[in-house]
Amino acid sequence: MMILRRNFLKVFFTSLSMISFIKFNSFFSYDKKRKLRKNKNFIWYLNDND
Amino acid sequence: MIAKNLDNINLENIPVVIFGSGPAGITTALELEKKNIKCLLIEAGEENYSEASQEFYKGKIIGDQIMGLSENRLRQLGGTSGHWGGTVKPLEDYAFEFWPIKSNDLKPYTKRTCEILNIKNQFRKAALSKFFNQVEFQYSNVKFADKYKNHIKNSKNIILALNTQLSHFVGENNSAKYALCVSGNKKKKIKAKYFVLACGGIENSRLLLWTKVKNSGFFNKNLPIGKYWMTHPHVLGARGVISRKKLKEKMKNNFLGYDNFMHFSTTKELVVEKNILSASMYMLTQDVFRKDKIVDKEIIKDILCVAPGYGKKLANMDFIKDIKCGNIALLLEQEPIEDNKVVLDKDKDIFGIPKVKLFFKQTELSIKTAKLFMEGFADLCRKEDLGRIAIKESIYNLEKFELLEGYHQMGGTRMGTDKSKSVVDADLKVHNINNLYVSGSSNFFTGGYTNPTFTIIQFAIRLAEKLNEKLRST
Repeated sequence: MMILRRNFLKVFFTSLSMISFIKFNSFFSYDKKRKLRKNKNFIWYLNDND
Repeated sequence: MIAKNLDNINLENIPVVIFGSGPAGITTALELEKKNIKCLLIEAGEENYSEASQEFYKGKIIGDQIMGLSENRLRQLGGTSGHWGGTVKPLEDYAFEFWPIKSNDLKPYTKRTCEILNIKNQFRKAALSKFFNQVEFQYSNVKFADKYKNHIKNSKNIILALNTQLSHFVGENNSAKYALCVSGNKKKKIKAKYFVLACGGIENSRLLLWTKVKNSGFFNKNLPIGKYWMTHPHVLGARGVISRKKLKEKMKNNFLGYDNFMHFSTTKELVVEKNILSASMYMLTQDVFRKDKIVDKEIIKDILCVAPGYGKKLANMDFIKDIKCGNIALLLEQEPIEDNKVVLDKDKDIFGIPKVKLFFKQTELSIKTAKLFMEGFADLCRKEDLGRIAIKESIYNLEKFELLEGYHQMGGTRMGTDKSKSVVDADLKVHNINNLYVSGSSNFFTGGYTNPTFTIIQFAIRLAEKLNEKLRST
């Protein structure tokens, strides 16, 4: 039991330390939100943060 | 040899007569010559451009406007190749879905077509995404009159007669007996084993319709001559910026680094999934149109105005080497509908042949195609950060396109197996007529998004092969 617990904690903390190397936005949908803006006779297809 | 008219030409024992000296007619004549088959090539116009000759091409357009019928085609030696842009590419494989032949039937003629057009046999395609391909066109500098005039002059097997207008074919018992022509103010009957009508995407329909009037019962009653006429809507559809660097990163080794317009097209998957027609686009970049820098500046100003965040990012990129910026032109497929058609007008020309009346309406599907094609591309660009695209408001609102060019005239004598919905069979022979063939884009069942001349020439070479087989077997 003790060995199992020790192994679990080992894996848990190792994984936790890995998270800092992974890009935060990888956990979210890749799809960026579309924003339409009209200028003169054209409709621009933009991202929300453009 | 080249003759001013039919006056001094011996019209006996001619195996093949070809009407029309454009790319289709000249190609078939050249291929027959290689097989040692004599042919008479008939041209209604003169050797060079003349206003008087162009007058014959005037006609009425009913419905949505396209460029005038005497401006978008040439009645002279070499036909409309005298003023074409030279942009060529074979039709996509999926464009043949409803044709009676498949793209593989035309592939054996690709190499020879490239030789005729003085172009590289290279039409690469690379996937940008599941729905878009980067495609490669070639650019031909060939004007058929310039390239082949001297060759024809010195040829023993090709006799070219200028200033000779075909009026109609006269036939019975499923055979065309002779063609009635007007040459040097005289009526002439030309007999041959085989007749090929290669007068262009409007004239082919006009002359067959007049033949139908003059020979009741010669053609099948339901033959849809003149119907399912098409052009390619070629419109300014969008503008924007694209990063070559980002494109290369996304496409890796597949990126086609050719130095010209960047062409993108629909994939079959996009056509099926969105239920649209095929389409292509190209950016009129600063590299090609250096004088167009005003447009570049305008576009950058627009971006800074609507998307300052992206504008700042853009400022840090290598503008000259990396960023492509400009207006985007669309070349769209138009679906064949029965109501778009060539009919005979009441007005006649001086030869007594009725002039043309063209009924043409833009279709909702073409308009929808323009919007969904550009919208999909614009979304791909912003999501993958390849660039930013703005769609023309009229296309976004699904309004009709502004005045169309109409240089590409297709349909009217479409090929097929259903005799009530097509005029010629897979070998380009008019249904139920043993010795009358039609050549050119009037035979296209659908138009695809590709400029038609490459396919016209592939078909013209194939036709010469078919005629050779027929002549040898008889």
